[in-house]
Amino acid sequence: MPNSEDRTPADTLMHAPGTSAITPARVSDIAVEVTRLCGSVRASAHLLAFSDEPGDFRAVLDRRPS
Amino acid sequence: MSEDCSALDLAEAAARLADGRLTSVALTEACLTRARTWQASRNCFIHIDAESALAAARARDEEIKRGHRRGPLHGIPLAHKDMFYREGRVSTGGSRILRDEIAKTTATVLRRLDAAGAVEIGTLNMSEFAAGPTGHNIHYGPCRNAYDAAYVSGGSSSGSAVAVAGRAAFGALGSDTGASIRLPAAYNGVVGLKPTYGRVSRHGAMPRSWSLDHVGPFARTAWDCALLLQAIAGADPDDSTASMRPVPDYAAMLGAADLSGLTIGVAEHGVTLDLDIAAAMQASVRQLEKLGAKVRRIVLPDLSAAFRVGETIIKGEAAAMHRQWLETRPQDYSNSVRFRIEGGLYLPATDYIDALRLRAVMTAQFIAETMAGIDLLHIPATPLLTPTVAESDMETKDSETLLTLFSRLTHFMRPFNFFGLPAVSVPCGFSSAGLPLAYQLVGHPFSEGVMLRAVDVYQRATDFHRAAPQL
Repeated sequence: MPNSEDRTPADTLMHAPGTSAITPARVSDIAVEVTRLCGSVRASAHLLAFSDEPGDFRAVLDRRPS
Repeated sequence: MSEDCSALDLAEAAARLADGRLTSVALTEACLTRARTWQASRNCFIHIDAESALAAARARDEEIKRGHRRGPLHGIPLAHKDMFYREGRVSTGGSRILRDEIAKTTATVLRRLDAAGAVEIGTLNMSEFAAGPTGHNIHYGPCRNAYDAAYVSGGSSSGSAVAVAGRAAFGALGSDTGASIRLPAAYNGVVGLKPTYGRVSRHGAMPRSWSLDHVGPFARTAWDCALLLQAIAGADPDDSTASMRPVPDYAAMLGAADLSGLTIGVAEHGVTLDLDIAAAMQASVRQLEKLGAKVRRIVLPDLSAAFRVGETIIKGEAAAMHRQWLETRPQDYSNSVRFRIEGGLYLPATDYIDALRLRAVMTAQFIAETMAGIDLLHIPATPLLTPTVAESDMETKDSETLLTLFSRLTHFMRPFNFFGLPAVSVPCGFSSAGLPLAYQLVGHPFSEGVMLRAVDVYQRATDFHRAAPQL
């Protein structure tokens, strides 16, 4: 592992907390997975307005009286 | 349990306890006997606590003798997924990591069931950390299907479904983050209810994904589910996501003669179903229509975006909560669970937050467009027949192939965790291999009573839920 001063941004990401047991062989699979997940989010991001926030979800559920 | 006793529903057992024809001790002994028998072949329990259960049953009987009956759950033997904390007791979460972890608090749902007088006979097997739709577990062994041990039970609340199907408990609690109540309920021929997000407190329930976790009941009938939901639902100062909405009297909403006044949207989803499942779906729609429901065909939007955006939330939250153990104890996870979590370590925070923001927007859109003009949405529980234990073991099979299979198994379920809408899995037939089939009903927010009313009417006209698996 390179010294922290020698690390590239990619090295830093690959040595984030929790990742030490991830083998190099797994990294490419994970990259595909993360690309897919982020791609789904970004493909729907046009639905978002500047003021939309996560807490709006509770209000949506409460909107309609049952 | 005598044959007559084992055939009782929770509500019937409660009635016999109330009028003195049965005692809690007798019911508990009967359930314990069945629990031991079923455990030997299906591995549905992690721990059976006969001594504690019988002590509680004796106490409940003494109360009844003194004229104090707490309600319909008084003296009723139940068992729950091993992820609901009880102070001073180990809750394994189906994991090796928590095998010796003693809980410091008691889950709100357990406190409420205790207050209602229920008797807990043990803790139930589950997928490791509630992750996995099949019921495999390398630490405690796989839980197997109640109807055929060669097949999976479904997960992650595997033991909850099998124990209820096997008449080892009159009801059970589970949790559902992506299908984990409804899929095992479907595979084992029992009713599994995922309530609206916030209807039931999550306090003291081991988390899988804080935003998508739902706690709910398993039982053999809608009526029994109503009794269990009544006891556990409602606001909780220990869970800020628990809704302040008043809890209706669910049982009072049941017993309708028919489904008149109810409009059920039948999903046209474009997904190829197994032939047995397709036939069962059509038959269930015909039955609901015959019972008086107005049926309307609904073109279902593509749910894959809701599926994937929801997956982003699960992965991000799971990675955050497991990060420390992934660093210090990676060898104590199964490969399948560790693989499912690891991707979340690399998700940009902005994408996770956008996924949460999208949840509100996409849920509002789904309710306004797809649920408009209907009370309930009818949709298959799953497009695929139950896999065998051998063919779906991620520790021995190609993980990418199986992850694709798991996505297909939960295709019709996971989006409703993202939307937070209530959904119930309803037994509606059997495959040519003799395994249970089920449909789902999805409701508007906080419309559990409407859903249970529909299932109650359906069950009084059909007998699929009366089938009892044999060992």
